[in-house]
Amino acid sequence: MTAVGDVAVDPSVDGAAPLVGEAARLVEEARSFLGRTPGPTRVARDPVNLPMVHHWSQALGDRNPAYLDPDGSSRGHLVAPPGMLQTWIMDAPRDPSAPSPSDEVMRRLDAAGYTSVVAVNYEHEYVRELLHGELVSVRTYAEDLSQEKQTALGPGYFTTTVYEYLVGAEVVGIGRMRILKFKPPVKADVGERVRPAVGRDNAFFWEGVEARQLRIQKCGGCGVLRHPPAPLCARCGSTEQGYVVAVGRGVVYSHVTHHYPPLPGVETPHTALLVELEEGVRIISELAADADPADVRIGLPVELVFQKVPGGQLLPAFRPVA
Amino acid sequence: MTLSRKAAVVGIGATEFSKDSGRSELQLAAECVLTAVADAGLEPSDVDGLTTFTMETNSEINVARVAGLGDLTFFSKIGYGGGAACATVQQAAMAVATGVADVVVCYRAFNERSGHRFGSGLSRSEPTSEGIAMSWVSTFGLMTPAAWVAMFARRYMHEYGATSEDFGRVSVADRKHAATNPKAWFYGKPITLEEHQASRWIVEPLHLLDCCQETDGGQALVVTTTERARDLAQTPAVIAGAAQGAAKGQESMVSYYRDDIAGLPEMGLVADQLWAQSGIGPEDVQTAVIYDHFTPFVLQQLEEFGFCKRGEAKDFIADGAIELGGRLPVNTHGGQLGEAYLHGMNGIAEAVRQIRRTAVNQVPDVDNVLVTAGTGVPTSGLVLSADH
Amino acid sequence: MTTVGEALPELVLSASVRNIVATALASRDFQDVHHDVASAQQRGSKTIFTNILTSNGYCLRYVTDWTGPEAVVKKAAIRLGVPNYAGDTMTMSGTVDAVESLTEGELVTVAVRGRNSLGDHVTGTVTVLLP
Ligand SMILES: [Zn+2]
Repeated sequence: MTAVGDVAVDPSVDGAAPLVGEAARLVEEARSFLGRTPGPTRVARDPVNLPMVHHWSQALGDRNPAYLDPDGSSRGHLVAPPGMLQTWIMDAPRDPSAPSPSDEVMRRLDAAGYTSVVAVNYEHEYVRELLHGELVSVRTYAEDLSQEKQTALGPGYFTTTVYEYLVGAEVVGIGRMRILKFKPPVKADVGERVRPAVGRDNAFFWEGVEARQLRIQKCGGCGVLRHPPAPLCARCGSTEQGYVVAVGRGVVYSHVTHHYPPLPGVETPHTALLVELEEGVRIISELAADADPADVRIGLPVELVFQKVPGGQLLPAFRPVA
Repeated sequence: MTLSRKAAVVGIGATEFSKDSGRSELQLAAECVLTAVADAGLEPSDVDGLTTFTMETNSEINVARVAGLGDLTFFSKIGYGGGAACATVQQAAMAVATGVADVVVCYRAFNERSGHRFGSGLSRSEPTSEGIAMSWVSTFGLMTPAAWVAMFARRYMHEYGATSEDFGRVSVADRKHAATNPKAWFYGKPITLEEHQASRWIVEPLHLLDCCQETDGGQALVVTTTERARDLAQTPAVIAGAAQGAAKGQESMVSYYRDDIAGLPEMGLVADQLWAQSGIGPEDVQTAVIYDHFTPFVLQQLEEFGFCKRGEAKDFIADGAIELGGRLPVNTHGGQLGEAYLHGMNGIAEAVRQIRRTAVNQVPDVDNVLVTAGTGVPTSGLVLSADH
Repeated sequence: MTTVGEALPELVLSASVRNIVATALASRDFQDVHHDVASAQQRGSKTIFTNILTSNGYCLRYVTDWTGPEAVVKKAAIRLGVPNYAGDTMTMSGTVDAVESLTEGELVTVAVRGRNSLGDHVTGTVTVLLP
């Protein structure tokens, strides 16, 4: 192992990859389906009915008598649970309906490699309550499509689908679903994280990690706290060294996010942190796997967690204070 | 008693700079040593001293044997990677100034691109004090030089408001100079700031174009006394100052535990010594070779040497000050980003050419050139001057 | 009279496998990530998780449990956060965000939040008309 070195990469032979032309073309094609062009109207299989309402109410534990008992409210009749608005027109698994303009947008994003989806916002205006026996239909269209965004889940596009719910020609509700279509990161087997070299001067630290403690060396002579630890105190000369267990709070003093080259046991992008602990010493650690690198900034309060890294090694990590 | 002006660089020699030399590192070393000796107008048998890096794979005795050098009365290796570059010349100067040796050759040769690449990441370390020190970072996936530098760079940006574009201006200047240097790998290939910004992330906040290239090749420098230099083939580049520095709280690339990590105190230590030894100051320097394995540390070095105040390097370089024709042209050969990555040794050769006034990108009326070695590590520096 | 700032009683909802599957099917959402663990994991999730129609439905239920059956739901705008995985528990909380007096009644907007062990699964507002 070398302790010093200089270069990481060679721009002269390893240039930036060009944007993939086909993906860009598909996204542009997707844009041609945007806007309030009336797509095919999808009609509910069944009118609003009590058995499906029962099913819903029981599954969600929603015992609102307005949905279940004609005399349960002053209305004098049953109404459908408003949350079921989209349920009436959901596709049957074996019987998909004709593609809407919004489906066309999704198909092209799928083809461009943005195969995963996560919903971000779900909004409804319930124009009026639905009555039993009413047959709901829906028209959907894609309202917008963002530029490519780098998100914690991967690169992706945000798009909003609008649902116009009708009974006959009357608009009874409007829904908007904003989703992120993203490219899931490919989780290759990254191998095992390098293990620390352990000797007399740092064994207490790594034994502490196994016991889920972050130990900071404390001089037995003058009491100064020190990291990295040392066999002698540079301040008082004492060779008596103890430790304190860190309370596990600190702030980010600096941080980096590693992208290249691939490293054993490191899933990229990988955020390493220089944390200033509440006890006053700094330590290199990493961002907890469940935290979002986009949230990291200098001065961010963080708290200690222990997590297993590829290869099974337990390591201290930090995440933003909730 | 001072070392200043007792010795001079009298010969320079390099192989071609490539991505795959097609020959052994030992052959590269011998070739560049012999080229430098010939450049000085000396014979191989005149050489009685060798200095190099601890990272050099070609030992002094192997180089001496295959290159047919004379008996060696002095040989020495300096540690800490690129931080050793100017220190090899300091060692040589001390040896000839004290009469321990007459002619000392400093050399560095490797197949860093086609062979072992330094940036590929650390592997498991032994429980030596050095291995234990690196474990504090490598265990957490902070394993490459780019990553180690990026951690300092982020803090520097935070404290002084420097931006990635400010780093990019260093890259643009180097590539501009390389574009007119036929020996440079990037000859004829300048870049724009936009290209720098568009290049992919290596380790945020460093882009690809913040990182120097990787090179196969060798570079050697011949040092003898200033007195003898006056009888040799070339205009001597007198060593007016030569210094090393390792400062309080020093670690190798990862000095993250100092009160302030937005500066380079080891380079400040080198700067103070160089100005004191040489009797000149930043205003007396016409051009500088500033170690540029990664762009951010070029800014800190300009501050440590007093070319501008702390945190103000971004303003200093904003309008082309470090480009040819500017107030302080830096890395006129293209630097390690543009010419070649020879662990800083090719930069010393450029300083010698500037003193000889034979550089392809010659700065007018050069009397004094500052050269620095690797940053983030214990380091070294030189002031080379014309012989007046 | 409803007052701004009034807190709704919390509601704890179990995200058992049975509840996730039952609610997905009751809302006619047949996506495999809501009933098939292997498919969910293949798509990068820890396990199956609550579908959106259900999360929205829970928000409406949470508010109408509090108002009683006379309330007419007018609007809901929710934002989805961390997944609500099988095995977790989501606690709903809410406060009255705005009250507007109209001739037909009080228009009450409740800020709702469903939090599980990973963080906020759902946050948003539900607007109801109380005649
Ligand atoms: Zn002490």
